[in-house]
Amino acid sequence: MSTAEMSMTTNTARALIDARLEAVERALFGRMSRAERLDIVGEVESRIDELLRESCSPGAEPSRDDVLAVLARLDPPEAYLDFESGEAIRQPTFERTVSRPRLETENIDDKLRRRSMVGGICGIVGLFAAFLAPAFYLLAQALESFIVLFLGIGGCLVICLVAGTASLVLSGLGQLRTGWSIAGLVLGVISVLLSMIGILFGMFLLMG
Amino acid sequence: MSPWETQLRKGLVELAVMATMVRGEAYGYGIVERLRGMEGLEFTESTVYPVLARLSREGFLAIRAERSPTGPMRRYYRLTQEGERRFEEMTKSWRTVSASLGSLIEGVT
Repeated sequence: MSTAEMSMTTNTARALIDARLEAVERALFGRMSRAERLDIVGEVESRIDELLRESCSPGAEPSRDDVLAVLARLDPPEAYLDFESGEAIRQPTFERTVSRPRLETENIDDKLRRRSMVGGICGIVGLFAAFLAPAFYLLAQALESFIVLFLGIGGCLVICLVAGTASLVLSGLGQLRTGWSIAGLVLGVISVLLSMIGILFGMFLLMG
Repeated sequence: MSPWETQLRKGLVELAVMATMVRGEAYGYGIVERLRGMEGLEFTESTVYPVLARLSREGFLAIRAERSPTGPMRRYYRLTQEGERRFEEMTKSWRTVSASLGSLIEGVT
């Protein structure tokens, strides 16, 4: 193995250990002080070091496989999520080390995705209402009804304004991370602009 | 493990951890290994380390760091005077409960 390859292996091994320690600290986060978390992480790190020294020949750098084998002998980070139960079960797969934090991230992402989708749907409703207004205008002309004209177009413009504003707000809360939130933003802007133009035009007609 | 057993172990872990230090100081993983050899008290490090950290914060344990024979630092824990008092209280409670429960169960079976 070349020096560069050896260095890369050592770095990978260190990265694996660091990832495990960070995952343990994350699992304890919010349930105890930082000093206590660091004490626990220190104990885990010390144990990993001891096991690595036992498994490697003196002076040899631990390989990635050595580290994985040692980590497999320890409690997985998720065991620290429920440390008070005393029910830790040794199921050592390194891939599971971040399972709970990932679940939390998924929950947050789900919320953002839901908001974005509702924002996008509001944008579509707003735009649909804006395009429905001319239909009411034609209907009112055919029926020669001022009530249909007033309620139909007025209702469409109010729906367009409210839905467009909701779309803008929800897309903003969705942090523009999905297609829905971007569509919601664009449709929201168009809906609000069209409703404002419609309201001003209506007021102009009424005053005229 | 049944919920009842989980609750029972939850209540016992602190007493068990403190009991490992009654005859002298012990390091973190040494405590885990000692408990592992006792039926019903096989707590793993994810249970023992947080208890050690909490008991230290509460002043029941004192810590001393020393290099292990293989090199890395080990943290040795021992009961403080306050810790010894706490352990005596817990032991007394445990004996009372254990004796009462024992006679109750014997009366039934």
